[in-house]
Amino acid sequence: MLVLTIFLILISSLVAETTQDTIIAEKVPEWGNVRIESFVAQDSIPQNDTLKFTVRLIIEGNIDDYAIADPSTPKLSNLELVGTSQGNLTESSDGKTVLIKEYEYYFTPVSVGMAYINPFRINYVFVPNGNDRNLSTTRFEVKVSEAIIQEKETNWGLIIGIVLLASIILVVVIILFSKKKRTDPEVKEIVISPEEKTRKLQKEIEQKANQDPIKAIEGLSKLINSFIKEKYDIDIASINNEELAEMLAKKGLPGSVIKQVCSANNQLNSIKFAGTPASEDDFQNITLALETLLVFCEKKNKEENNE
Amino acid sequence: MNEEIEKLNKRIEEESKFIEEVRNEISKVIVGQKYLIDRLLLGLLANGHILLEGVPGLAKTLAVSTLADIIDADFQRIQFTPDLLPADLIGTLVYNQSESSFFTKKGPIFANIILADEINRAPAKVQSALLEAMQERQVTISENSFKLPEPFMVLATQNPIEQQGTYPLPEAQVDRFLMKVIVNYPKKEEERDIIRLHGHFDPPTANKVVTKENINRARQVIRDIYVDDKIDTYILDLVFATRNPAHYGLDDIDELISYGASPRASLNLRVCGQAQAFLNHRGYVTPEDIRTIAMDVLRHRVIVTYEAEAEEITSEEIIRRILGAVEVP
Repeated sequence: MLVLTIFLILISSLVAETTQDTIIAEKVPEWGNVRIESFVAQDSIPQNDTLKFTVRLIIEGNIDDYAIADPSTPKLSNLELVGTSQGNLTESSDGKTVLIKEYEYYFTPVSVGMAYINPFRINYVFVPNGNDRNLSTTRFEVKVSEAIIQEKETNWGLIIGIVLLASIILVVVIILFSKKKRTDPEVKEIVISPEEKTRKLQKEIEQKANQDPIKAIEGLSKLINSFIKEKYDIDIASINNEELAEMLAKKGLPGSVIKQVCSANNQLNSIKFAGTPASEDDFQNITLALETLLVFCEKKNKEENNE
Repeated sequence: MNEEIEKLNKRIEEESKFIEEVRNEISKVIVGQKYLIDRLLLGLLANGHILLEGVPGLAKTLAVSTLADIIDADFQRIQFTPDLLPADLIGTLVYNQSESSFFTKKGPIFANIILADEINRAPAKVQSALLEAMQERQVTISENSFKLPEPFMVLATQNPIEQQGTYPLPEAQVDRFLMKVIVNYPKKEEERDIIRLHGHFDPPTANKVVTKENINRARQVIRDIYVDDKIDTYILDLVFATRNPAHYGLDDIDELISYGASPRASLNLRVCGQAQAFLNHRGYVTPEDIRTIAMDVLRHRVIVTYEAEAEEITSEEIIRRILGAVEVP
C-alpha cells in the first residue's frame, strides 16, 4: 500500500511538472519576442559636428516568424539628416538565437540651442498568428553648442616645396631676362603727345610748301582735322562751322582760338571745294590758326601737369 | 576766293533772304521740328518731292500746310483712302448736257503744293497715278495732256504703325521721292512750348512771305552753285558703296544689301548738296553738305536683304556704316 502510495505521488509529481512546462510554453506573447532599443552617441555636440543616432531591434526565436517593415524617417527638430546605414547581427546565447537589426542615422545640427529626435515607430507582423505591433523609440534631446574651429595642421613640407619651386622659377626667369637684355638693344617707351606729333608733321609740310603750295594746304587741312579728331574727338568733315565752334566751346577752348580755327576751316573749304587758288597768305593764315591751337593745347597740358 | 564764287555768294545772299523769313514765320506756328522744316525747304529748293514718315500727331500736316501758307501758292490736301480712284486725284472728263460736250474737270493734283496724306492707304493704281504725275510733272486726261503748275511739290506722309490694310509703296516708286524724312517726337521743352502755343482757341497763323518767283529764282541760283570734282567723286563713292560695299572695306555689309542706290540717288545727292549749300548761304558744296542730306536721300533707296531684316539691321545703319567708311575729301 505504501509502495502504491509512493508510486502515485511520483506519477502525480511528474504529471504536475509536465503541466507546468506546458503552462511556461504558453507564456510566449502573441506578438512574438521583439524589443527595441534606441540611443544617441552624445547628449551635446558642437554645431559643426555630426550626431549618431542608433535604433536596434532585438528579435529572439525564428527570424522567419517576423515580417518587419522599414522604419519611418525620424521627425527632427533643429537637426538635419545627412546619412543612414543598416546592418544585421546574429548571436546565440543559452541555446537561443538572437537577431539584432541595427539602424543608424547621422544628423548635423542646424543652429545653436536644443535639438530633438522625436519618437518614431517600427511596425512588424508576427507571422504565426498574423498579429501586428508597433515599436516606438524614445525621445532624445541634444544640446547644440557653438562650432569648434579646429586649427589645421601646417603642412610645412608642402610650403617649403612651393617656396623652393618658386625660387627656382624666379632664378630661371632672371637669368633668361638678363641674357635677353644683353642681346636686345635697349627699348624705351616713348610717348608722343598729339601736339608733338602735329608739330613734327607741320614742319615737314612747311618745308615742302614752296614746291607745291596746294598740296601743302591740303596737308595742313588733314593735319588740323586729325589733331582735332585725336584731341577732342570732333570730326570736322561731318559738321559745319557753326557746329564746330559750338563743340570747341564745349571743350573749353577760348573764343579767339575758336574763331581762328573756324576761319581756317572756312578758308580750307573754299580752297578745296570752291576752286579758289591757294595763295601764300592762305597758307600763312592756316598755319597761324594751327599754331594758335597748338600753343593753347600745350599751355593747358602744362597747367594740368603742374596741378 | 575766286571771282565767280564771290559773285555767286552775293547772288545767294540776295536770293536766300526769304529763307530766314520763312523760318521765322514757320516758327510762329511750329515749335521745334527744325530738321523737318529744313528738309521741306530743301525739297522745295531742289525741286523734289518728299516722303514723310512719322507717327500721328507730330505736326507733319501742320508743317506742310504752314509752308503752303507762307508761300503764295495753291495748296491741296488729299487724304488717301482705299476707295480713292485715280480720277479723284488727277481729274476726269465730265459731260456738259447743255452744250452736249465733255469738258475736263481737273483734280486736286493741279496745285503747287500737294499733301498726300497717308499715301500707303490708297491702292496701287492711285499711287501710280500720283507718282507718275510727280515724275512727268504733267497729267493726261483722256487725250489731253496738262502741265502741272510750277512750283510743284508733293509731300506724302505715311504712318509707320497700323500697317493693316495698307498698300506699301513699291521700291521703284519710292525712288521717285527726293528724300524720305523720318519725323521724330519733339524734345520735352519743345513740347512744353507746343502746349502753351496751341493751348488756346485761336491757333497761330503764318503770313505769306514768299512768292513763286522767289522759289523759281532760288532754284536757278542753286543750279549754279559750284560742285567740285572732289565732291562729285565723294557722291559717287557713297552711292557705289551701297552697290559694292566690299570695294570700300565693308565686306561685312555686302550680304545685307539687296539693291543699292540708283543713279537717281547720285543726282539727288548732288542737287540736295547744292540746296544745302544755298541754305548755308555758300556758293560751293562741301562734303559736310553731302553728309547732312545723305541719310534722307539714301535711306529709301538702299534695300536690305531678308538676312538683314532678320537681324533687324536697317538701311539707316548700313548708310551710317558707309558714311563712316568712305573717305571724306
